[in-house]
Amino acid sequence: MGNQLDALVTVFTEFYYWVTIPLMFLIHIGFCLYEVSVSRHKNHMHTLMKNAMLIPVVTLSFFFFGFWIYFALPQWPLGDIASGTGALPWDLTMGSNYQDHIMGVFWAAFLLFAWTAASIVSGAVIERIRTGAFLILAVLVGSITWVIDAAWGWSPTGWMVTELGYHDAYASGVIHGICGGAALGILVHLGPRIGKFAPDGTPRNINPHNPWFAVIGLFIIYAGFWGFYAACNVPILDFTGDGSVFTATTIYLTPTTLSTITFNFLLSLAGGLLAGYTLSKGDAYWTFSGGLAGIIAASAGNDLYHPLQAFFIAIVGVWIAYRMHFWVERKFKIDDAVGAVAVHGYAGSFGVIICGFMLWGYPSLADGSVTINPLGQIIGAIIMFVVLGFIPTYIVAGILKAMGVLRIPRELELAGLDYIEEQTLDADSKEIKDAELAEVNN
Amino acid sequence: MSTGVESWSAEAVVKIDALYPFVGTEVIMTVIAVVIWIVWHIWQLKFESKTIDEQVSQLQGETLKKIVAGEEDFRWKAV
Repeated sequence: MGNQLDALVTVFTEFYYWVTIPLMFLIHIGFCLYEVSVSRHKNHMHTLMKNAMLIPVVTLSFFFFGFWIYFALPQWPLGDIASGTGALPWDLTMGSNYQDHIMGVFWAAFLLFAWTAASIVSGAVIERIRTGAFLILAVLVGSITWVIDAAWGWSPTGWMVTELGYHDAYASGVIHGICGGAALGILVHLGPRIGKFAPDGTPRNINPHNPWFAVIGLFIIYAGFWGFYAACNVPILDFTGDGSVFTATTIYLTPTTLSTITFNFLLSLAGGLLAGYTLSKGDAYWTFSGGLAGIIAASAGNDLYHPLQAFFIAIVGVWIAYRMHFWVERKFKIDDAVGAVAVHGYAGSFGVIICGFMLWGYPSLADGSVTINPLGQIIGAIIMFVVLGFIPTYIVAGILKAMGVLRIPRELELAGLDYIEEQTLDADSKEIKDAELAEVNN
Repeated sequence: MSTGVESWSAEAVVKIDALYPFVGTEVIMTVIAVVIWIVWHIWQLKFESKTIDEQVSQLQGETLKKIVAGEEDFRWKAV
């Protein structure tokens, strides 16, 4: 009976995570649609290709070393990198293996988080970054820095959890905080798009070429976010070890329920949409971005909050993200094309910090050895946004800038990254049309 | 002769781990794949720089002004 139950749990867990993967694929589709629509027509195909090509490079690098980092580095400072993790590309478990049914599914779930991480950064830098430079930065964020923060703060053995009591159930900081910081680190070196700021420093609106599709992209990201939430849970665990309590748990193996996260996901979405609509006076882009920022702000504690707590936190998180976005834009001349630093970075960091106050004293781990506390969460938010988010990309983007491969030349930016390609397509069409006319005239 | 699994019998299946052929070549496959990955990045950076240089050489002076102004009298000439 025990073996049958174990087999059932394994099969259910395998299938559960597998289902989250195509759901999370929607996040990438949504980001692509969103970014392409926000870009101007003269840049839209380049924007699409930049985002799409992060899929192969991050997938490869995540197979080579990204997943290994998660298992190898939980302990400060460098973990136990000499021990076998089963996650190196030549390990038997990192391939089709009849004795291990689940490694590939776990790997893919984490890989989809990695795509999301790189894709968050992608939106902020559109219309002026070189694809090659972006892809290097995508590997840095998607396969190195976010995985280090996951090893440290998103694992029951991570030192941020065991030492600081860090809690971030649905990745307010682990994905969103770090990626907002990473985007900001690149934007400082990249500079604004031509025309973004008037000579007196006043920001101008560079409007999306298709606002309707941009918000549809955000809608699709919401749909994918369900998969993301599901993938952050362990679906069924013999919590007491004697079969008396089976429960879903967070990634820290602390109890939660699918009902809890469903309540809280929807109430934080509602709070975010209301706040975004109100603050922006009904602007569609900021209303939908507000919905996303609301979920992100509540995510750190959405395993335990009351739905109305998630609702209130979402409202405050969106208010902070919205105000900070425009303040930073005006003050520091940062041109974040999609508001990624605000929606992910500021809302996510706020979410991590407020969780420390809301869940103060809750056990961070099932054994109760450490508890959630404000200081641990504040330190955690700084580690995510600044130490692993901003600093690494600031350094690497600085190197790429010094090499002259970070930003496209002025002439190409003015004409548009797609201009030459579109002219070529026009010329091809004209040639065919001429041939058809010649045929008619014969 | 078999490159991997030789039987799907009940006795054999419980002992099978790797399902893929040529077990033992994982390290060399990894090395080759890493080389492909790195070479692709280098190629992409060079390809992109070359393409940008070619395009910028034609997007100068009056031509660029006309493009930005929306006058469609420019045709790309492949180098």
